[in-house]
Amino acid sequence: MIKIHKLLFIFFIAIALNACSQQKPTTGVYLLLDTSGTYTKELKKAQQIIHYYLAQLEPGDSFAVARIDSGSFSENDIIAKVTFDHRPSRANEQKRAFSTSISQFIETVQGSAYTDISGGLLLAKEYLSETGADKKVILVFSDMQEELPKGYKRDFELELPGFEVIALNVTKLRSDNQDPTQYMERLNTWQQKIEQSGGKWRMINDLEREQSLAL
Amino acid sequence: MQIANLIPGEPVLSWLLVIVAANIILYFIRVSAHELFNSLTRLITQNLKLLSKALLKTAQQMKERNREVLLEHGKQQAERELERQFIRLGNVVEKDLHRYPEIQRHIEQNISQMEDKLAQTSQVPLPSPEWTEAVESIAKLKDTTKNDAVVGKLLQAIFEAFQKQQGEVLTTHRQDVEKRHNLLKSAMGHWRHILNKLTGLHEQWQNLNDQAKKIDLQVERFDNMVKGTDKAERLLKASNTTQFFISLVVMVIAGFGAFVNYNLIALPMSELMPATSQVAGYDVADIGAAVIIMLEITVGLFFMEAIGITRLFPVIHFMEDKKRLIWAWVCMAFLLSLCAVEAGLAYMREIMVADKALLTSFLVGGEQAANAAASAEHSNIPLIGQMTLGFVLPLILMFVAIPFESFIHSGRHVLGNIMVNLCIFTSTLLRSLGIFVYQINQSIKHVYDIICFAPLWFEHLIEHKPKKETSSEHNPVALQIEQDTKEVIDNTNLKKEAQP
Repeated sequence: MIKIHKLLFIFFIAIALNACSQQKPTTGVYLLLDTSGTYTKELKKAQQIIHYYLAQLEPGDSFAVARIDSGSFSENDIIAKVTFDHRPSRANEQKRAFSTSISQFIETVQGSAYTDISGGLLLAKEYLSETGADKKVILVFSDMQEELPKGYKRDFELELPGFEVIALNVTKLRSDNQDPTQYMERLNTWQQKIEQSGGKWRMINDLEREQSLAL
Repeated sequence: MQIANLIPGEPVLSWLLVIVAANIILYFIRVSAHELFNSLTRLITQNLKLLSKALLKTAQQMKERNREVLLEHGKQQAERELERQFIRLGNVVEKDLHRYPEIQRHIEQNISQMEDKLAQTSQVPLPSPEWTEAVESIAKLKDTTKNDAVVGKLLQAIFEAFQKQQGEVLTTHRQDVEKRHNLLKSAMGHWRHILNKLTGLHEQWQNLNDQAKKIDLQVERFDNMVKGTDKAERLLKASNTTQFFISLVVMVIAGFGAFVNYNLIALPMSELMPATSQVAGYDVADIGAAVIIMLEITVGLFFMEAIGITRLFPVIHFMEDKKRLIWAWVCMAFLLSLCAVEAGLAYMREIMVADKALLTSFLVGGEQAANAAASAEHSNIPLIGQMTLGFVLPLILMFVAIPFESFIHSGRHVLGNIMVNLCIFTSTLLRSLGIFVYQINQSIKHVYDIICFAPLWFEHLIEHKPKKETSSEHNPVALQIEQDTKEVIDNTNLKKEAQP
């Protein structure tokens, strides 16, 4: 009788523990790299940013880096993607491999003629939704000047609730220098587009400050 | 409908009408209202009083129970101390006094040897040769010239022989004296031996006496505990409170030790357990590390119990000695295994930290920086230090069983005392609340009377209106009865009001 009570007690404890157990909140980061025109010169900075996030992300988190080119809504544009193993040592190995892939890409990157940011965002959204990460962050390393090839349609609703979109290193174009309102208007447009889609918008231009880069 | 419009166009009059009506109603229901207030007050105050009394009784019972527990604990302690004293006494007796016959034999042997030697020294050497008689005989020879030469020669020969003999006798005598001296000298060794033995024996007896005195004191204390004297209770109370705070301080220190230990193994545990899972908001790896430390403390508690240092688990304590020894060995084996596991985890931690540093170098400075960092010379001291700490800390944490036992025992009494005081305080608070409610009731009644003062004033006027002469005014007996009745009614009213 006592044994049965003990077994029942252990059983209920196990059920209670199981009920209490949950997955640690994970973060999913998707970095879009603009490879259009002269912006490829900025990619060294992007590499530092990638290294920073590689150091910050923990086991269970997901990280992907993709390029923005003429048509970015394609899996071929994903340079590297990983979901870190729950063992820290294995996660460290994955980070090394990831970093190596990025280095190789930056060394061999070719500039693209057009800049399909919206396509990239859509791909990022799909990827992050698949990972099931609790915190989803899309980083856009670009001047935010979208230029689509003829025939490409990108006037759709992105639907980004629960996503945070961070524009990094938004450089000023030559035309922006002549008319700064263009720059401000461009940023406002993107902000409105993201916020109307339910996402959060943030912009970081000072990449030297680690605090601002924190997720 | 608004009160001001009760009489259309006459708000003041309407209000006056309402006030007058209210006054009259209040006046007519005054007695019932007062009774209602009194009933409600009695309901509250009596319940409060009941609660207060119940709390006081509980406090009293708890106090009694605390006293019993305290004395019982004191008795247990005194028993343990007595037991320890008896064990010491037993050891002293076993160690020193079991050699008593041997010592006695030694002393007797030494004494007999000394007697022998003394007997040897008392032997008188043989008397000197009978020269004197020969010399006397020669001296008695007649004094003639004929005899002179012979006598002279004889005397010369005797003298020479005497001289020679004397020399020999002297030598023999000296040798005898020397021999006796030597014998006496060797007897001194026996004396010293006996003296040492006796001094040792004296010290042993003294030690035994001291132990006996201590046991006497313990027995007296134990006796006081059994009798449950106030002195014993006071002593135990003071001792218990001190013990509580001391054990609390030691437990806090041990807690910090456990925290250091936890930090040492929490990181490597993430390599063994899923780092992405959580239970109740805490990482499973962290919980795993905490569980390992708790297991170490538990095994330590069992070990301390098994070797008889603590008495927290009667099942272990009352085991047969042989089984208890096996249990102790098993606990020690588990504890050492856990120590080894911790040392391994500490090693793993160092490797993980190094790997993380290498990764950071790689991410910051590229492959070259990582290679440079990997090929740089590293000191093994942190690794050895961490591993040693990982091995030693569980063994140190094992000793937390002693303050823990003290904390549990003394905490029961301290907590009991706090509860008693809390009960008394709450009881006093409830009584005060009862008095407060009673006073509030009185005030409400007065306020009620103030509100309907007008009808009351009229009543007062009517009551104190000069009355026409009644028959009782002329009848002294009737007057007396009326006065007595009034007094009785007044007294009854006063008593009623005095009751809270």
